[in-house]
Amino acid sequence: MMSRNRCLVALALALVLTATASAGLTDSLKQGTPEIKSMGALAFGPEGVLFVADTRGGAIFALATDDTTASEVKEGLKVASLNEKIASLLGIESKQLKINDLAINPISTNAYLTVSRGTGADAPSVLVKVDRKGKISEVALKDVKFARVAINNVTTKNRQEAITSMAYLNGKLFVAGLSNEEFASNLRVIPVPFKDSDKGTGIKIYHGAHGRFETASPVRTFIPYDIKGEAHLLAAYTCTPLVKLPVSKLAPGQQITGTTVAELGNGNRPLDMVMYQKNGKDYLLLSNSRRGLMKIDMTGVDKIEGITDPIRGGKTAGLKYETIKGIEGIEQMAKLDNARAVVLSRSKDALNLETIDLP
Amino acid sequence: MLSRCTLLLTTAFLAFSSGPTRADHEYSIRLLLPRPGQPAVIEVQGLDARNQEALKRSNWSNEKWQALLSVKVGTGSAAQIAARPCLLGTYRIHNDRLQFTPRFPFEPGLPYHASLDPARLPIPTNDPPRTQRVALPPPPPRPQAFVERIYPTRNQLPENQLKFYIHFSAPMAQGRVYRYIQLLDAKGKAIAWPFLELDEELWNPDGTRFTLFIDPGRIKRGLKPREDLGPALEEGKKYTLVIDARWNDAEGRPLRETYRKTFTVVAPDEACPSLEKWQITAPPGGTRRALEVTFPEPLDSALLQRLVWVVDPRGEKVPGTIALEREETVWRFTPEKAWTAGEYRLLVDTRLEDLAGNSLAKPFEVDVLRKIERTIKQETVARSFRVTGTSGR
Repeated sequence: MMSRNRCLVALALALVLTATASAGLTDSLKQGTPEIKSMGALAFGPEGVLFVADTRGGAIFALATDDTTASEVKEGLKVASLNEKIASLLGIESKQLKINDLAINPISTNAYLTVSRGTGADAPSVLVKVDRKGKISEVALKDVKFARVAINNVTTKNRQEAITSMAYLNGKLFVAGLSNEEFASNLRVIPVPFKDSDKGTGIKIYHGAHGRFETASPVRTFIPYDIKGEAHLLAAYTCTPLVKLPVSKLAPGQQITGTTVAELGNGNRPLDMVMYQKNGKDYLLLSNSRRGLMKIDMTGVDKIEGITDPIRGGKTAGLKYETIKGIEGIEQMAKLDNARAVVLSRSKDALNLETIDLP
Repeated sequence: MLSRCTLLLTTAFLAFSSGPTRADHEYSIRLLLPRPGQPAVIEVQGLDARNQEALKRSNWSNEKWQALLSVKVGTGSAAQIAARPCLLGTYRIHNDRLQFTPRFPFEPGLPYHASLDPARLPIPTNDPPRTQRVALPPPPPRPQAFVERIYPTRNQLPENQLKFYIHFSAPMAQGRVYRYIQLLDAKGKAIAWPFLELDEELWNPDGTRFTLFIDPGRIKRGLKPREDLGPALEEGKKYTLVIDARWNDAEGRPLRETYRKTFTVVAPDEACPSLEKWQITAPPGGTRRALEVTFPEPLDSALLQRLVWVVDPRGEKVPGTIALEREETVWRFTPEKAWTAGEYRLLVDTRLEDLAGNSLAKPFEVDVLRKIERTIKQETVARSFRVTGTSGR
């Protein structure tokens, strides 16, 4: 009982501290109409604030969704042929619609998607909300509270940087980008609330294979994860391996090499990651273009010093993982709660929004 | 009174429309063509004055408006169309007509179905719901898009070739494009998983150039993809990069033809390009003759446009145009104004890469046990050249 009380006190304290740390983010945003040229990667911060990457405009936006009431719906989200329904709302056929990203508001648990209306370079982007009852609506971006930060992104006639992943952690937004010209790591750390004076600093991330071959490999996707009380990013490089990067070292001017914790094998294209607990253990669920879902057991991640020996013959090393069968064609994935994830999976031309139990 | 009226839709479209033409009175649904500053709208004529007034004063939700006049998109059976959500848009009474303005402009050539349900009017009638199909004229046909060229243009490429730039004649459709790209071996068999496939496809801003990376996991030594499958490209072998004609342009039409680039693979290139090995041919003063810089190997076509430039004796960047020749081994710079005598400098950003991703600053991969590769810390390096002759005046 005593122990339970202590836990409750600790939980309450943690909630208060979290609230204090994030208080004022919405207040820091200004009312207006953001001029967003394209909407791609999404990440939620505190207070239902949604970060939206604008690749074409070379900027990140923070938008107040005002969607801060927890949904009372218990059933999972499920919308068949979501792409066709969104296309119909926007007055086009589904083949003209491109879904760019999916995020779940951790407070309301409603889903948000960025879509392009059309397939051309100048296609307008739309922010779409799917509430827990499956109702689809456009999030109007007129007269809303927002902030914008231009990222230090050289855009010329032909150069453009695709923002591949974003995550918010303790007052910082981590942004991974990939240039369409030079092959270089480009991970930025942007202070939140955004400040004009600090547009984020690029950090050079390296990847070493077997303690020998080192490249300035770009990070494709990542997720924040606490390892023994120390904040880390678990990141997948474009060259496949999964690494851990201590957040304390992701500071301006630093050059760091990620520690390989798992080698995911060929034909992998890690898309999205969800971290969850089950039976007292931490698991990372990784959606993958060709291998379906991979469930990675995080046991021992703190002790891994890095994979240094070559792995041959289809074997794997580092953290143990299993491939979850029966769920194919996942194009987007986001965590709904600690027991469920929302996925957007393709079946022929239809993209279905479904809820799956975390395995 | 109204309930006894026979309703019929007239098809008085300014744009073309298909579907039955009805000749009765009262209501008509039509599509008004877009005018400068005004999008195309769907308009219903024939509402009685009492309903117009009631609608003007109403504070209806979107759902209620949509129940009265729904607008849906696409082809299919009546049941399929009816099952689709209504287009987003706004409704109003304007000049005694009910107008629907879509949130996004109607797409030329695409059919839309407007359905009026008089039973949902503020003062309902018993007339049956009616649906009218309308469409804006399709856009005039334009020449089909095609692949103009693929960089590198050379047909001998290193085993660790990193990327290709595919240049199209017109903006292309984006999204799931990797299904249109294949790498075939000499027997025409597709190589498994050779490319880095990214959801966030790497396009230039106008959608005419696509950057295709070979999977770095198949290039970098010691990684599992390469250990299991080997490098995507192997020295001594012949390959064909195929761009499938089924790839649509931004207007939804396929490419004019399938494009093939056949090349042979030579030894991997693990060395950084070196400015000292470049040959600079200085132009004579008083002319606008091109400055010519020759490299011992082809360099990255896109980066050569951006990361190499010339500064004049005062240290100012010289405006001009860049052309690449002889398989990207020659960089030619033609100034806007004639050269004047003096010491110029060629500046190079050390991020400039060769075909294998080795930059001036750092090789693509560093063998840390064999620290023979040099790394340059500066952001730019420079070489001087002297323009002699007349002052240009």
